[in-house]
Amino acid sequence: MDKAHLKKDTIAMAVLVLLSILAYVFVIPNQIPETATFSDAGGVGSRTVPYMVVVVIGILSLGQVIKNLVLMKGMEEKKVLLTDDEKKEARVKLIKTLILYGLYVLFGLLFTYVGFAAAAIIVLPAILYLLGIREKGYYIGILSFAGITFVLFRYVLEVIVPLWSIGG
Amino acid sequence: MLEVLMNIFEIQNIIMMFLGVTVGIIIGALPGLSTIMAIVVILPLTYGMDSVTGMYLLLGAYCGGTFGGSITAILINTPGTMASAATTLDGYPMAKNGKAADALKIALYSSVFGGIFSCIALLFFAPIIAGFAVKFGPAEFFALTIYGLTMVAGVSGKNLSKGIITACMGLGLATVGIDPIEGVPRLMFDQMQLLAGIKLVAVMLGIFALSECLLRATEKERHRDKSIKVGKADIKVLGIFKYWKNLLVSSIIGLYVGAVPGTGSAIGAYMSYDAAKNMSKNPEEFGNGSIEGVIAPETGNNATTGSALIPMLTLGIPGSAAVAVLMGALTMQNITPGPELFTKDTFWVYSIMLGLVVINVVLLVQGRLLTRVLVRITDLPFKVLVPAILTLCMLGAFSIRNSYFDIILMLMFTAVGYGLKYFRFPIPPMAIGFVLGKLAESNFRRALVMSDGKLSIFVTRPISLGIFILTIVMVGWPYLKKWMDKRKKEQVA
Repeated sequence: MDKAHLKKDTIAMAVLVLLSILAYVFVIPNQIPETATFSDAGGVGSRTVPYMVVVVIGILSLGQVIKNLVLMKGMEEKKVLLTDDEKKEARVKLIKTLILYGLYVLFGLLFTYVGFAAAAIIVLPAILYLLGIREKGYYIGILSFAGITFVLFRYVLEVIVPLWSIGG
Repeated sequence: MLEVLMNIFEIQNIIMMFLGVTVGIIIGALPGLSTIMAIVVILPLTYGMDSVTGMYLLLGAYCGGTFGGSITAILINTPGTMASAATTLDGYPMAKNGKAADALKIALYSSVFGGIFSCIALLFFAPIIAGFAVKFGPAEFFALTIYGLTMVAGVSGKNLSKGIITACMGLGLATVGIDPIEGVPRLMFDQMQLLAGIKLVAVMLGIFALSECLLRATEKERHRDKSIKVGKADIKVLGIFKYWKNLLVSSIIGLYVGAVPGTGSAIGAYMSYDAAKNMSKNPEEFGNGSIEGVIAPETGNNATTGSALIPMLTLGIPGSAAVAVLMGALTMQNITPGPELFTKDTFWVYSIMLGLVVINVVLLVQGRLLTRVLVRITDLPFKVLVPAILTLCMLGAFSIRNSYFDIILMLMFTAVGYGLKYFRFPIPPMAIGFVLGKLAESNFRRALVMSDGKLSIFVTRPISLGIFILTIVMVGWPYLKKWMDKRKKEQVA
């Protein structure tokens, strides 16, 4: 791993350490009531496994942070010279990913508050357009697929999927 | 037995086998999409089904997905799944030499041979192991779950500590809901929908399917070299069985690898390839389009499918991440895998084991009929599939309990999955931790209640102690071997 990747990795691990501490100090005590743990069960109770999990995550993450810092100290900073086009490509890729996730969320919202039909008709073609697909056949294909899948779930599997609905 | 066979051949079961195998082959053929994704995406379809019918659908996807990766491995030198990575070594050169159809036919017949061999082993060994496992108590089952959790080491790739972190995340997720021993709510954040815990399917759809789409959708596509034509295969079936030694050895290797937790079909494929090369009279042909170089990995990878079910059905320990998802599906159908299945639900377990043999026959039929059609899949841009996968995932998540809450969970885990993959955390350990978490905790606490809180119960019971020793040996052996090899090299130097 080069120094840039190690830096990113270190930040991620540091965040995990923080989250582990937060979970140990605040989340678990607030979310899991302290019960009379079985005195004949070695003091193991409802909080035992959650505490063990966050401690292991915290220790391993901290260990990785220390390891990365030691490795980075001995590394030379490699200047990765990206061309303008490569930088632009990376930015576009990130923006597309965020927009795609936004479309996932929009599908969920439309599905909940308006119905499956609206979600499929609005979001699915938008995804194809975002990803650069322009052939009409694919648009017709994906909407047909959505229709067939709806029929499968609604009438074959008997899942009450709302086609049109107002409210959640 | 007659009843079991009649049940297997009921029309809805045969349809589900065909459907599962088709979906598995299609998803397996698409580079970057795994067999796990094939299982996860069709898992919601099984909710309203009989448990046997639902399992046939999922097992069909499992077997189909393991074979499907060979199509793109042969045609575009990119394995559809990791299980077919070794197939590229000789499959693609065969295609470049104008023998694409031969390579695909060899891959199909080898896969079916390995799959059926593995099923026969499952039928033979599973009842024996289950008979032994009936004597297990909570201490032994806890020891087994720890052994199962060590397979995290096998699926973590290069970074073991990241694998353990994601496995712990899975263990943590398994604690959400009502404590099975004390009955108190845990980590529910005042959401009543979490009373029964987080649903496995919502997590898996987000982590495996939608997050993968987010990652792959913006990447460059790989397409088939148009000079590679898939015509009629020249090789006859008997021509493939001429290499019976290769088929047999690869099947045995795959069988062993599949039964050992922590390994997987990719390891089975590579080990079989190495063994075939060592045994071959023409080892120099390997890497240049050798028939044996396609037979070995395809037999080896499909031979893991039946044997990976041995620890799951008999002990309740998944043999791989894909089987962990299958196990999660069984739990949702209120079926608890383990030795009691062989005494209390013999009809069900034999329906599954014998049904798997039929699924491999279905794979042969589907492969023969659909190869030309399936080749067209390699021409389909992945981006076109993204909205299709989103549709299936949304409907799938909603159909868990007819609740929008599961859609919210799925979308949350999509972001988590993307983040984990972006920072190179392996995802399969999370599935393993999630599936084994409840089992591990409840058996641990039950064992302590039995022993009045003494941890010595785990080492004073001989079977439990034996399993812990085996676990330590399995975890420590690769490091010990590395150290021994290093010492040998130093001595030689």
